[in-house]
Amino acid sequence: MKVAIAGAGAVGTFIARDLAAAGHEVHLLEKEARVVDRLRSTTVDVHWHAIDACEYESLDLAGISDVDVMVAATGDDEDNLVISLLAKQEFAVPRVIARVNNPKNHWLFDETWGVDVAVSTPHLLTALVEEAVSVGSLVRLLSLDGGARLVELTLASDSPAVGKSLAQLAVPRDASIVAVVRARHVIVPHGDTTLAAGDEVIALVTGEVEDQLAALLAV
Amino acid sequence: MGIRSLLARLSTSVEEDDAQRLRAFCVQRGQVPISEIPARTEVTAVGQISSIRIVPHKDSSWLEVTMSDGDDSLVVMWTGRRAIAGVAPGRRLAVKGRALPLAPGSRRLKMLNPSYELLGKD
Repeated sequence: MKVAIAGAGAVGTFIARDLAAAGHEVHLLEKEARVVDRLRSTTVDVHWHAIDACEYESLDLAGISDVDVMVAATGDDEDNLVISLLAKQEFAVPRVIARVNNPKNHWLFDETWGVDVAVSTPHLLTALVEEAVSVGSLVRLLSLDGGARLVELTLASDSPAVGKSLAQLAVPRDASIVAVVRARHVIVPHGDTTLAAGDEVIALVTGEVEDQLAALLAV
Repeated sequence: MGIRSLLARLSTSVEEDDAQRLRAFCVQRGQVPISEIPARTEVTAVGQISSIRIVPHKDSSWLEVTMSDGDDSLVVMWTGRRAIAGVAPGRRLAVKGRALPLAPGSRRLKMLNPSYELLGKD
């Protein structure tokens, strides 16, 4: 696959090396010529372009018109939006991935700006940290288009749900338990599935019923 | 016009006749037929607007126009617009831009915010 990455910071350079090592054709676009000179010798299997990725002509010169994926990975959200829009609108890049630096800007990164996938490190980190530390509280794993959310809760031993079957639990409308993970095995839930302490319950919910579900599963 | 071609014209349906005129118009403009537009290469395509949709998108809306050249159709989207003066069903349009698949893997193409020119009837 031909991949273009804008921004040769720590993030961009890492992705570039990783993808190049996996055998992809990687083009790294960086505005600062000094950075390009410094990194060129250590990152040899990547095609370097000392250009401003926010300019149409520069992108054209770098051969963006036939890349399969564009990654806007600069440390500036405005730049990432401009790069995404140019890639999608002017070069019809099939898949545009943008890095969100400030979580406050996350809402902007959507199709209107040409972004197919927005990656926000703080959001990912908080989800991972929460998941690691929490037993007995609801953790949001993923927000889906249309307002639904995938949430996870690990049952504490004193949870009111322990020993109950899903039918007895009476899960609210607009919430659905999609999987139970027990001792590394995925259990497809039925009405007669009985919950045990330590079970990881994964559910799909919409906003309003999230608290109700948490109340059923946690103390 | 010879008798043979007159008879041929009289025996075709209205829709077919319209499509033929449209095809002739698009060919005469000397552009790539919609069915032969290469993906991701800048081209100018000519066609007649067959339908218009306003697609809601969070707090804005997109104008989605389907244009046909008598053989095939192309979807054109203008982001953040509800209407564009002169862009209406039945109008002929030349759009210039790079097309991408309507959906991943789809053979049908769309253009995002192309530059456009409203064309006269003939």
